[in-house]
Amino acid sequence: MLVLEEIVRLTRCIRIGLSPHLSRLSVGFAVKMLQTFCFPGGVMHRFTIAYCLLALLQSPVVAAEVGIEYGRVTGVEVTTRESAMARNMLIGSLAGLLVKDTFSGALGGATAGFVVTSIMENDKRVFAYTMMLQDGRYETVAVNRPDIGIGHCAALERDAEHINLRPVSAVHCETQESAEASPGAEHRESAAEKCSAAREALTSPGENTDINAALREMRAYCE
Amino acid sequence: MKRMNTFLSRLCAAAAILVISACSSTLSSVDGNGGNVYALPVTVVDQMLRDAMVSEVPVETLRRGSQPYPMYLGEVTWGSLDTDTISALARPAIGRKLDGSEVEGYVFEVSRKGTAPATGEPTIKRILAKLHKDAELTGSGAAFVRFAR
Repeated sequence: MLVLEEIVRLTRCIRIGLSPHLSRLSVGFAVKMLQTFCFPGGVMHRFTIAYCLLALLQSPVVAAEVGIEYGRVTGVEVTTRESAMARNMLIGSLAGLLVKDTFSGALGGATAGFVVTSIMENDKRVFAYTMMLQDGRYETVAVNRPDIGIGHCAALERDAEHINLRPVSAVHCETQESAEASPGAEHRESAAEKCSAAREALTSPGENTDINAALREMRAYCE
Repeated sequence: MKRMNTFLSRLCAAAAILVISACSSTLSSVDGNGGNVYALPVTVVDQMLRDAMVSEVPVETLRRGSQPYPMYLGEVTWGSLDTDTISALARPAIGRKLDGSEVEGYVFEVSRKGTAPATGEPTIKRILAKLHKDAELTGSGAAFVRFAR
């Protein structure tokens, strides 16, 4: 039992330590968390063991296989949790936590640090990203991260219970045909031409210039 | 003891006033050290402002400002009571290109005012960053000289 306790405690500590969201926490709070999860004592002890077992069961090692699809973001809309639910959007894990107001829906997908920070921030906005996937389908995903822009390439990850959206390199959003037809230099040349054309359209637009489309092209090809 | 209670109640009252009173802050693409004026048409600047606001502010609260230059306003909330009004505008300005000639363009300003700085502050930072990124991608930047009017 002692060995098992050590293993789950270590697992929990590693997961907290590796959390990409740890930087969002204050140093004091991080220390407090590490004390709670790594060096528990008294009444907290049993709770911590139960939590660690839960964390171990939900760890990536035993999690179901995650499906990943890549696509470009074609629209961003700030919405509310109720609206996102009413419109049957895919709800990301952290947004899912906000939507359901319960830990059960999101605990496995979210790190403890970010969950606590999100609750503390009390920011109830949900960001609905419309993506054009590589097979031409459109998906709208509601998550509470605000940092993905129109034209950016993003990965839509999902398993049986959770949805996650994260920005990735534009390489993942090149279609197979375009990669085969114009590998390397030709493709870059084509992108540079499109970037120049979009810039020209924006700095000296004509009467019929579609400014929205030119901005999208610029964001996609000039970055 | 009575003096202590009086002091504590005054301290609490002061803290409460501080918490519920509105405050404001402004971020700009130019400051005392200079910055860039973007020589872009008003329609393009207007669309950039709208895109940046739409990606951060609930669209149902979004509205145009009353200034004669491109400006949008919207609201963000913190909890159920605190609200910040976010405004993003493009002020006409004069810039100087590398060849020394002067060009007309715009400078971006984003500000917040209200009782929800926890939401408002990071929001205006992200909006200005988006505007700055878009404007830089156009390659139309010129060194700030002065505001136009």
